[in-house]
Amino acid sequence: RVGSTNEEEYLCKSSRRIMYPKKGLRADNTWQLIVNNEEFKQGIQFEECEGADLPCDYASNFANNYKPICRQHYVLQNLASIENEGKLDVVQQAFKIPSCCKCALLKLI
Amino acid sequence: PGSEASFGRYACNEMSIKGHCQCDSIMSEYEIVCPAKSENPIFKLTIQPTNSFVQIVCNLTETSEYQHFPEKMEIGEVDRVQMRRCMLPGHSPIANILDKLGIVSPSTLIFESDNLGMNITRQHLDRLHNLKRFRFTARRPTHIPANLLTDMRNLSHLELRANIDELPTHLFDNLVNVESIEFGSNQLKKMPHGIFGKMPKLKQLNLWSNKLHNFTKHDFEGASSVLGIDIHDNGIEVLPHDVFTHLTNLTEINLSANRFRSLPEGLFEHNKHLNEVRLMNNRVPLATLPSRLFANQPELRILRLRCDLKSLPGDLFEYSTEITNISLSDNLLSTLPATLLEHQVNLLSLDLSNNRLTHLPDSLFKHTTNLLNLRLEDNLLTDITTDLFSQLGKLETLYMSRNRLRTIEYEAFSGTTGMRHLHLDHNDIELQQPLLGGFFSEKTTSPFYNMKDLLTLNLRNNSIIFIYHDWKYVMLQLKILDLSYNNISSLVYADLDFLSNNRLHINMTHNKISWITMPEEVSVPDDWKPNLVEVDLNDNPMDCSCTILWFVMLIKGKITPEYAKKFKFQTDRLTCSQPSALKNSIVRQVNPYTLLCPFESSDDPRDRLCPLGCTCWVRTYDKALLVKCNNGNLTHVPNLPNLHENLKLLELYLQNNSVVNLPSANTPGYANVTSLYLAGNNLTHIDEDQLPRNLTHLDVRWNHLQTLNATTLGFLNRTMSQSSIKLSGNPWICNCDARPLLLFTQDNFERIEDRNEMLCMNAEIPTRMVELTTNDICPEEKSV
Repeated sequence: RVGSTNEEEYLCKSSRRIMYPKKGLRADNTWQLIVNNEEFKQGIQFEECEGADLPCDYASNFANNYKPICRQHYVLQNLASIENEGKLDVVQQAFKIPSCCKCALLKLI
Repeated sequence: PGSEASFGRYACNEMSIKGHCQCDSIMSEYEIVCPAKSENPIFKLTIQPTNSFVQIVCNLTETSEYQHFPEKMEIGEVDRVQMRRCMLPGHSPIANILDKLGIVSPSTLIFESDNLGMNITRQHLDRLHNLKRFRFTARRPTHIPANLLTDMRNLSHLELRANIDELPTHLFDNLVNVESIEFGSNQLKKMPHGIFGKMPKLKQLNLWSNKLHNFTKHDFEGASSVLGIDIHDNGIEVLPHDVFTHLTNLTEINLSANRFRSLPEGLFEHNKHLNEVRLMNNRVPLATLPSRLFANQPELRILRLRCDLKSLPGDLFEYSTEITNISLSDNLLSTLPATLLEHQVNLLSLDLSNNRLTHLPDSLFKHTTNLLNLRLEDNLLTDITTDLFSQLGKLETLYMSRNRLRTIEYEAFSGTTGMRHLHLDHNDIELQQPLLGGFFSEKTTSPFYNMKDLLTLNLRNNSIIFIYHDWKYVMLQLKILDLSYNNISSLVYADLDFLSNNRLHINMTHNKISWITMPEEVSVPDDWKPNLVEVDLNDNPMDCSCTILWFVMLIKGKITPEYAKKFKFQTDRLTCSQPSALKNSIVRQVNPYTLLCPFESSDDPRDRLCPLGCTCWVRTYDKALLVKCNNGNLTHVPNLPNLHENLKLLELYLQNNSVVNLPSANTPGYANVTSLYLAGNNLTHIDEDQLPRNLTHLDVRWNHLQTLNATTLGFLNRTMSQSSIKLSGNPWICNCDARPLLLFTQDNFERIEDRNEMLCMNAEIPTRMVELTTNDICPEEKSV
């Protein structure tokens, strides 16, 4: 069949989902309300590690002092959000969005 | 027939409007979540029409929830279906779920779940008998029934990963078409015997990350079709010498991450089609390999060996002439036998990085004449002899970074004429050449002189002191020359006259460059086209003296000589380390007027150039000699040097001394003075014939002057320019005799900088001269 590609495997399992979050983490790790209602929808595709800091798959042949571990990575994305303090105001703010799960080689010594 | 995945944008919109599921389209795929608006949906479907792929992600607590699946979907034909975290659907086949979605005859099914709910059975694969690829993955220990695959005659790829500790022999009975088996990452302790005869097409057998410690030759009986076998990470300590006897067509084997303390001789004796062998990251030290382990292999090409090897037998690769790639990095090798590569006439790439090599035999590379890449970085090599690389005419890349290289014999690289990238950084290389009459000859060449096609020459962090002739005029392709962290102490224009036309970038940061001299102008031919050369000069200890004047003018953009069009200097962080007055100033921001050089001084009065007790400086910016004798006890003007013919100005600084009288304007030396700074002395009068003919600046503040006569004023009137006379702080007597002085100050207000501070001291209260008119000091009627 046309368009079929070879199977691809990743060292880290992750799940991908479109979300319409009403709250998000800013770069400084504080929470802020995100605008998401029927009139104004902001859909974001998240990709999250399945489980935190699990060992990577297919990683049984790294050098002896390397420990392969799956790590969550993020990107910063600007979203319309609502100021937590003062008067209600819609502002653009950068939020941490889980973007992918990568195998990191932890160096022991 | 011919129908494609029929789910599209229209169906997606319809679903969101009507159904209880939400559909989004993102890039070229669709994401369906059921039920809609759920924080924790029971199903998530991803449809990638372009990849012919559907992913079903479940979040079920019981199988009855399968009825919440989206109704009446018609996804159509897809190649691959992946089901993740889904439960096995009771006693009904998995095909029923696919039917509900309208998925037609996939060729690949991936079922990955840690939430099976029950053991997998033959019925679950009902109506999936056309599958070519089947993958079943579960993290919990799972029982595999012997008849699971009984109907799967079309299967070509089988992957089971479910912590399986035993495989039933009959599982394989009908897998006549299977080509690859992936059983990596289970708990298998032994292989069922006699299975390979039933799989005549089996090519790839992956058994990595199991507990198969004790392989014997019987484990592989009938496996003559197998081409590749991967048994890495099985905790194997010993292999019988005949274990691979039946794998007569084996081309690839991976023995990595095991626990070998030795390997038997003749291990691959019956495997004459070997192409690639991997033995990496052995979990215990394996100090050496048996004699002739990889010898007489007519098809062997690639070897990756990393297992704390301390030595190798000289006959290891004997008669295996087709080897192209050998990686021996990260072992503990201190040297290699001279004969090791004797038959490797086709070797292209050799990696010996990260070992403990202190020495390589001169004849090691004598026969590897086709070698392209050689990695020797991170070893303990101290020298490169004339013979070592002499036969490597095709070598393109050589890494010898982070060794202890001191000596490179002059002809060491004369044979490596094909070299493109040479990395010799982080060594102790000086490249010392015989000094000719105390200086390097302009034409001194380095041991790299014969590599005309070099693109990269990385000599970072060595002890180089000189820019060699061949780098400039022979390497016409050179793109990167890294000379940072070396001992270069100065630069002249000729050092940077590189001819490479390849946008050469030269890194000279972190050297000991204290001066850079650039000519004001160099004649260039009419048809001259500048080749661009970028030079990073940052982080050098510049001595900001008059010698760097034209370089400073150049980087400030004050002069733009034709020759300089080829240079792009990086000087953002180039600062002065000397003199103390300019320390840490950025060279590009230094005022060229402040760049001075000391003028000789002598203790012998006969050839006294700079007067004793004075300091003398040359300022090349305006060709001035500065004689500084301030703050002494001088009672008269000292003997001054004659002005050198290259200099135009002589500035004499005599402030705060006790000079009473000026010498005659004809006095040798003094006659050339152009600026005279005499503030804070004891002068009581100045005559015209005491003022040097070319004087343009005069500062006589804070002396004992009471008046200046008309002829002196006439001289000043003729020779002085704007703001060049300072007269305040003197006890001027403003009577009729002072009329010419008063008129002079009125007529020449632009020449006398401190005119407003001049005071008349002959009255009871000192009066500012500017407030007086001639009438005030000398009424008309009196003079009549």
